[in-house]
Amino acid sequence: MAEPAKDAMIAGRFRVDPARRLPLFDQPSGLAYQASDQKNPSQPVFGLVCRPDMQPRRDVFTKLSRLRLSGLLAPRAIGPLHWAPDDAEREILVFPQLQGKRLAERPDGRFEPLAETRLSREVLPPLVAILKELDALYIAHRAIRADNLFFCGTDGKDVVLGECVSALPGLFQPVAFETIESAQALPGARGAGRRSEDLYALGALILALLCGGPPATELGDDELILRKITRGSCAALAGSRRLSPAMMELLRGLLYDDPKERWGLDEVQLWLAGRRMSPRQVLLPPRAQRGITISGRRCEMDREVAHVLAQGWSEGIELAASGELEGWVRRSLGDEERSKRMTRSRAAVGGSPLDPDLMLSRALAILDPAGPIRFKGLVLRLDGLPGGLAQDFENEERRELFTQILAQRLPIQWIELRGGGGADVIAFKKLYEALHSYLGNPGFGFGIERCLYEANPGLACRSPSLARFRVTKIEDLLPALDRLAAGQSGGTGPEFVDRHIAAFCAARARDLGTEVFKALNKPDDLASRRMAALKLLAEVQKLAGPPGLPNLARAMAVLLEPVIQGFHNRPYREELIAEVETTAAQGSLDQLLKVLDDPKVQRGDQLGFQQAQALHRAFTREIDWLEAGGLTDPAQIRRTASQVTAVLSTLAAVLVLVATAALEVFSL
Amino acid sequence: MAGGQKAAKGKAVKRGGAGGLLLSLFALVPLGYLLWPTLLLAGPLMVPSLAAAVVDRSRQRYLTYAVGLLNLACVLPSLLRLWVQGHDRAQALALLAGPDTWLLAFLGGGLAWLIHLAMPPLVAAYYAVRSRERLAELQKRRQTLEKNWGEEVAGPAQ
Repeated sequence: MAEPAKDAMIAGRFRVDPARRLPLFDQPSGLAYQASDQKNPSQPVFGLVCRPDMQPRRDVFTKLSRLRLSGLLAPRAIGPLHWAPDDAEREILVFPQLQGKRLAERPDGRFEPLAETRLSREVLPPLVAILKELDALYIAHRAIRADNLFFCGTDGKDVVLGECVSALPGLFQPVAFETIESAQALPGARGAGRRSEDLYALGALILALLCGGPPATELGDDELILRKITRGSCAALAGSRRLSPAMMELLRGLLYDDPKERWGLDEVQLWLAGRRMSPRQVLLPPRAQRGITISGRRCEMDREVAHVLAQGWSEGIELAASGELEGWVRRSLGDEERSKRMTRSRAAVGGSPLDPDLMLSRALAILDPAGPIRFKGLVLRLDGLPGGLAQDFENEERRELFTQILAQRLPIQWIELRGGGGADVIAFKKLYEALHSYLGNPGFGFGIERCLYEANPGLACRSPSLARFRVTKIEDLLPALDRLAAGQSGGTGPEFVDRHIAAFCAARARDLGTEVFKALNKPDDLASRRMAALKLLAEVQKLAGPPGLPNLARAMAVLLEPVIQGFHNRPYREELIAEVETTAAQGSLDQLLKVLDDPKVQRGDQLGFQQAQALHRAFTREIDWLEAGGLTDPAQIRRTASQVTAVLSTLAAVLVLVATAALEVFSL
Repeated sequence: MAGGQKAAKGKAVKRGGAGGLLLSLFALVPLGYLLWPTLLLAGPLMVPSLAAAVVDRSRQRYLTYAVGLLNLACVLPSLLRLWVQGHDRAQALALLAGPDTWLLAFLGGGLAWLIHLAMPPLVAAYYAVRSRERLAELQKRRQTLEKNWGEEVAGPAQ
C-alpha cells in the first residue's frame, strides 16, 4: 500500500478517515472520525473535525499535548487539514480513543443516578486529581459537564474528563454549570476563567450525577440565573432534593457564588479524606427594604436589578437618567456611598453629556461589581471579550456593539469603576488600551479587524478569500494564498489583500511596521492599492517565506496590469510585461516588486511623456497651419517670388558686368 | 498757444525745405551740364526701369530694384563706350543711333521683367510640393508619437 502523503496528515503522522464516523466522541464543536497513527498503528486514535466557526484553544493544546493524564482526554495533535467532504481546510484535533462510554449523550440527557458513596470514592478523586494537574499548568478546563464525562475501563469505573480544547472556554456549558456572572455573559464571551469556575462546574456536575441529569432543567436559563442570584446557586440548583448533610456541605462549598468563599481543591481533598467542617450558611447579598419594579418584575437585590436592566436596556436608560436607580440604591439598599458613585459616574464628561448607553453601562458596573460588562444587550466578561468578538464577528450588529465597547474604552472604565484587580486585570487593561488605539485608525491593518487578531493570537484569518483555508500563523498565509491563486481559472482573481488579511499581517508580523499599510488606503486608485498589496505580501514573504510562490506571483502580475498600464511608453510596457512574466514564474514577490516599482524608470517615463506631449502639440500646430494653406498662401508666394526675382536679377547683372569687363579687357 | 507754435514750426520746416531744393537746383544745373551726354544716352535706354518704377506699387519695390539693376548693367557697356570715346553730345547721339545699344539695354530690362512674370507660378509649384512633403513627414512623426505613447499623448499637458 502506498504511504499517504505527509501533507495529508496531521503533525506528519495522524491520518483521519472521513468515511468512518465515531459518534461516541462527537462534541458540540465538531464530529469525530476514525484516525490512525502512522508511527504507532496499534494506538487507536480519533480525529475531532472542528466546525468552521470554532476557535480551538491552541494555548491550552500546547500545554496539554505534553501531558499524559489518564483521567483527561488530552489532545495529541492539532492542525489544519484539507477535509475532503467539505472541500476545505478544517481544524482537526487528534485524541486517543477511549474504551468506554459517555455518561450522557446530550447536555440535557438523563442517566442512571450515582450513589453518594460511589461518587465520593470512584468519581470525585480522579476528577479532583485532574483539576489539580490542570491547576498546576494554569489551565481552567471550562467544559466540565455530564455529557463530557466518560466511564472507561473493563468495569466502566475509570472516570475520564472529556476534552476542553476544541472550543472557546465555557461555550457549550449549560447555565446550570456556570457561575452567575459567567452564565449571564454571551456563551462565546465567558472567558478563560480560573480554577474557581471549574470547581463551581464540578459542584453542578456532582449534583447532576446524583440526580441522574442536569439540575434545574425545569427552569429556563434566565429564570435559573435569577434564582441563583436571589437564592444562591446551591439552593437554586439543588432545589428540594434530599441529600446527605455531608454532600450538602460539599455542594455549598463548591457552589458558593462569591469566588473568594468558594472551596478550593485543598478543601475538596480534605472533604474526600473524610474531614468534615462546620456547616456554613450561604450568605446572600442584602435585600432592599423596598423593591423596585422593572419590566413587571419586583426586584429586591442589586445583582437582580442589574441583570433585569441589562435585558430591558431602554427602560434601564430611563431609570438611570432620571436618577431613580441611584435613589433606590440610597433609600432602599441604604448604600449612600454607591449611590454617590453612581451619580458621579453619570456626570457629563468634559462638558459634553455622557452617552446614555455608556451611562447605564457604568451604572450597572457599580450596581453589580461582580457582574459582567453590559452594553446594549451585549454581556461579556472582562477576559471574554476576545472570544466573544471572534465568535460573533460575522454578526454585523454585534460586531458594531463590540466596536462601540472598545471605542468607548468601556472595559477600562469597568476595571476602574470596579477597582482592584491583579496582574491579569492589568494585562487586560493594557490589551484594551491597545485595541482602543487600533480602532482610532480606520485604515487597512487597523480597525476592528486588527482588534480581532490582536485579541485572539491563535485565531485563523477570517478573510472571505481564505474561507477554504485555516491560516493561524503568518507562515501559513502565503502558501494558502498561493494555493488559492493556483485554483483560479483565468481572468483576475480576488484582491488577495483585504481588510482581514492586512489586519492579520499587522497582528502576526509586527516587524512590518505601519508604512506598508498606508498605501492600501486609496479607494479610488486601483493601481496604487494593488502595488501596496504587492509590497505588503513581499514583506511578508521576506519575513516568513516561502521563497517560491509562483502561482501567487503570477496572479499578482495579472492584478498589477493597471500598474503596467500606468506606464506611458508602449514599447517599455511590452518589455515590462515580458519581464514581469519571467519574474513571476520564479515566485519571488520581492523581485516582482523591484521590477514594477523602480522610481527612476517611473520618473523617466513621466518626463518622456511630457516631452512627447510637447512635440505632439508642436506637430499638430504645424500640420494645422500647412493644411490651412500656410505655405501656399498667394500673398506669401508673391512675396517670395519677388525676392527670388530680385536675387536672380542681381546675379544676372553681375554676370553682365563681368562679361562687359572681360570684353573691354580683350578689346584693349 | 500750442497751435500757434506748431504752425510756426511748420512754416520754418517749409522754409528750410524750399531752401534745400533751391540749393540742390543750383548744384544740379552745373552737374547736369557736365553729365549731359551721359544723361542723353542713359535716359532713353532706362525706359524699362522707369516703367517698372511706375508699375511697382509694393513697399519693398523688388520689381523696380530687379529691372533697374539688370537694365543698368546692360546700359553700362554703352556708357563706358561714351566715356572712353569722347564724352560729348554727338557721341551720345551716335551711340543712340546704333541698334545694338538699344537691343542690349532693352534685353536686360526685358529679362528682368520675364523673371518677374515667370517666378510666381514656379514658387507656387515648389511650395505646393514642399507643403505636401512636410505634411506627410509631420503626420508620420505624430503617428509614431501616438504609437509609442498612446492616444493620451494628444491630451492636455500635465
